[in-house]
Amino acid sequence: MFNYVLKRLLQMIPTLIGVSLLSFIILQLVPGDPAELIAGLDASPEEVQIIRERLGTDRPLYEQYIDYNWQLLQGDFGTSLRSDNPVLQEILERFPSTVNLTILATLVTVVIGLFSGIIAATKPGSVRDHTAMAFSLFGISMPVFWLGIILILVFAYYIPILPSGGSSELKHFVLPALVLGISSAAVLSRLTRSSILEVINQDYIRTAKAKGVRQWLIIYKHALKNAFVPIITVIGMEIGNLLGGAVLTETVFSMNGLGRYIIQSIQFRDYSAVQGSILFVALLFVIVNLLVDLCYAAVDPRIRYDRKEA
Amino acid sequence: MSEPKAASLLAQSIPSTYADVPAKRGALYKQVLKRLKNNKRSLLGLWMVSLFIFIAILAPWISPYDPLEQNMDKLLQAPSLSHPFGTDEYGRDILSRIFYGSRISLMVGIVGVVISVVFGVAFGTIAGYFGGKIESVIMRVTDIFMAFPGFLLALAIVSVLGPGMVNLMIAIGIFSVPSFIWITRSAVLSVKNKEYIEASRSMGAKHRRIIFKHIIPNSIAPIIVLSALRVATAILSASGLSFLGMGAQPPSPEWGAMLSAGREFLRTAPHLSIVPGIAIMLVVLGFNLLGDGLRDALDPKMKV
Amino acid sequence: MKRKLLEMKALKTYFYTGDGVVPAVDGIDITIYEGETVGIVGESGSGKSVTSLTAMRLTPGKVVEGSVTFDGRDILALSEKEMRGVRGNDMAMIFQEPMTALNPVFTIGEQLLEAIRIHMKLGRSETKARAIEMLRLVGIPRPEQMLREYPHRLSGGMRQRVMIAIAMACNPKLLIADEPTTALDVTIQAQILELMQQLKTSQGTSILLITHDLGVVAEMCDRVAVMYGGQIVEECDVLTLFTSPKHPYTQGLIKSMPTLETNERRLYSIPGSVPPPGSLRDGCRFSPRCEFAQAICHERHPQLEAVGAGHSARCWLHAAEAKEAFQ
Repeated sequence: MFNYVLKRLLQMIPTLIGVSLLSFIILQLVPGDPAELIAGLDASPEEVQIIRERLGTDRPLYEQYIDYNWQLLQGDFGTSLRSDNPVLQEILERFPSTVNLTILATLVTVVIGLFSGIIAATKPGSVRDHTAMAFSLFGISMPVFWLGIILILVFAYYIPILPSGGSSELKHFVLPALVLGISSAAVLSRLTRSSILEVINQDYIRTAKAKGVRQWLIIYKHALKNAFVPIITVIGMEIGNLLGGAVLTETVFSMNGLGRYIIQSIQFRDYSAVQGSILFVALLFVIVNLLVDLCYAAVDPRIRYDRKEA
Repeated sequence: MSEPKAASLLAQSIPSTYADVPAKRGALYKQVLKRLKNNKRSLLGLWMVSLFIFIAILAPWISPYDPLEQNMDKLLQAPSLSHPFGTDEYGRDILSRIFYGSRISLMVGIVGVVISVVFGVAFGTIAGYFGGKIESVIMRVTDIFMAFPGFLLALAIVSVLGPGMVNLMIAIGIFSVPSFIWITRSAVLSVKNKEYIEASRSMGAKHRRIIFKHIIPNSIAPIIVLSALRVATAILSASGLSFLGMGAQPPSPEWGAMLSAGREFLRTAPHLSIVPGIAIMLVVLGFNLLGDGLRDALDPKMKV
Repeated sequence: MKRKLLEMKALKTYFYTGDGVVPAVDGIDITIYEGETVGIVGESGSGKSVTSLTAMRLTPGKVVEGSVTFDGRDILALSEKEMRGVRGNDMAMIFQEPMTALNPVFTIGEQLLEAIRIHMKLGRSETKARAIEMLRLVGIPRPEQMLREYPHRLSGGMRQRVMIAIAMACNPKLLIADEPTTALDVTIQAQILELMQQLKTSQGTSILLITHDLGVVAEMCDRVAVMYGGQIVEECDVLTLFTSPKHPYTQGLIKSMPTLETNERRLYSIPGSVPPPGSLRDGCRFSPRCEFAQAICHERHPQLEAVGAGHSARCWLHAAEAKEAFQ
């Protein structure tokens, strides 16, 4: 197991380099000269040149990229063009809110998605299967921002029991977490169902039945543990989508989180903040994927051994 | 009576490994059509998609009003006989805007996916067919793209390219390329070593011929299914970007943008936000149903 | 006379698929006495596996007719809960594919202990002791260590031994073995058969052996039923089967066995192939492939009739009725 973890950590390095390269390129694609942008329209060429030197944009690209990585390693994600604060500091100020939202939404996803999927899979073709699958089909087809607006309409305006926006208290998180969670739950529910149905036709399930194991134990113990690998994959992917979807949800619910920070930075053309936040989210996602892989290994002994021996 | 006999004789004379190859494609096609017809969900999906395509094509003729025409006497009206979905904050007819909006959503979704299919299938086929260094480079780059949550990647791309329809399609296109690379590569890998391809190679066929004649036609099924499902995702993401102000710009009757503009009047005129959302959901649902149905008809065990 | 352990009467198990009804088992009578090994032989698609799964009530098909009596109990009338008490306890099963029959994400120990825990109310340490005893009994070295291993670390033969250990853990009265050696190497096959033979003698278990391999039948069985198209076409004791088979299908099967004595260059093979279940026709189901087929064989379906002591066959060549008709 230790070797496996080590190997996965080493495998992360090329991905991390690629991620930093991609986020570096994103900034290069911005049309126009960032120095001119910062200096403003009435700046003199000398002033622009000074800013350019300060930014380092007068040097060759590869030098800039190496510098960029060096700064990243030191925890320097750049300086916000808008506020002149370090981007990382601004990110970290808003991050807890997004983390809370993501955790709550993941909880909603797992609870609703896993159970509706299992319930559907235990009786394929039944009414409850069709109902669960119809709901999840609507769930994956529904725009999150629309669901958010509908929930605001219902639970903040018509039956005013929850706030329509903000991010200071737990009650502010209820609707956003539901919105994000429900859309991911729909994906998870479909996948849980199909994974279990696939597993349930395997020979070892017949063996378990032949031993006299109860139906619910067959599903929850024998089938579910095998179906877990694809299920964990989707949970990991959905956490990435939750981080992305937070952009929309935080906008709808006026939450002061990372997603809304990205949108505000885009609106203010604060590209270093955009670059820094997107890189931050990507790093987070890489870590989530690593955790997902470690979960695989914990669930499925074949992965642990095969990788080690390969 | 004589026909099946002849067929079985034929089957005996052909080595079994060749039996499942192209000769059967016509029959397979018929079988897929039959299964599609028997699948209620996919038929419903097909109907819904066709309906929206018709609406998009016929929008100028079936819309009761000009989608951009403002009418200051009829601001924020609730649904009525003359305006079935009501009017917006400039007195524009929402039904007409929804009709015209279907043109934008379908175009962004379909063009975006065409872009992804072209690049995804090209790189995926190269990676799967040639293998080796090319493959590992392509797959590494794909991994890097996949390290970004898709929606954020599209957002980052439009944010640097600037808002607008063309940039939106490019962003949406890039967003789905990695998944097409993956699916194509695995499909190609699964047919690459089949006997009929080795046979064709041993007869001296060129790579290009093998790829276009054998590899792509035999790995097309998952690509078709993924395309339908990805149009759904693309429409959803595009409307999300427009909702954030990163896609189609204001006067345009884009559904996401309409929904965003309507938010201001949520208390007084909720239909401004509700109606475009339902339109998005229905068209996305249509493509999802179609994709699901195609998968069930082509190969229920397909991993898409 | 020994006691009847399992008795299937006029059993019909049908599958209802989108394409229509498939009569996988179409009227089977079979009896297994205590301590006896009965073989069911047939090609794939003959319905032999469905027959065995029906006895365990594990078939996805539906029993439309007939009865299954096991140890004096009407299996088909038991509640699901009562049936669970029978499965793995009185009646146990091992399968063809030891690679896939064990759950890959649980240790051998967990899967073996589970069976013991369900049926034998033992304490923790006794349960474990029983598991170790079983592994030792089936010839697995270092049983304590084996409990902690995962199935993918074991060879096919070892896995089949584990399967047998699981099946035999609660001293079942009947062991159903569905092609237990088909997926194994020849040398391993012999070891597994020998192990089953040993256990049968030491534990007094009856065995229902499903196989397509006449060699296995010769080695293991007391009595044999040959199945074709969902029905028994011949049933007799093992010696009779090889010395005087009556049904042309049985004769064909025996002729197609490779032996050392044959000088022929090519092995005999029965022409044609098993008709897919569901494509039934008038007349004898084997008649399209039968070299002795006569007019009546294509027209009327023969009954299973006695052709000797404890020997019956379903063939017009041997039916009294047929003799009359053609004399």
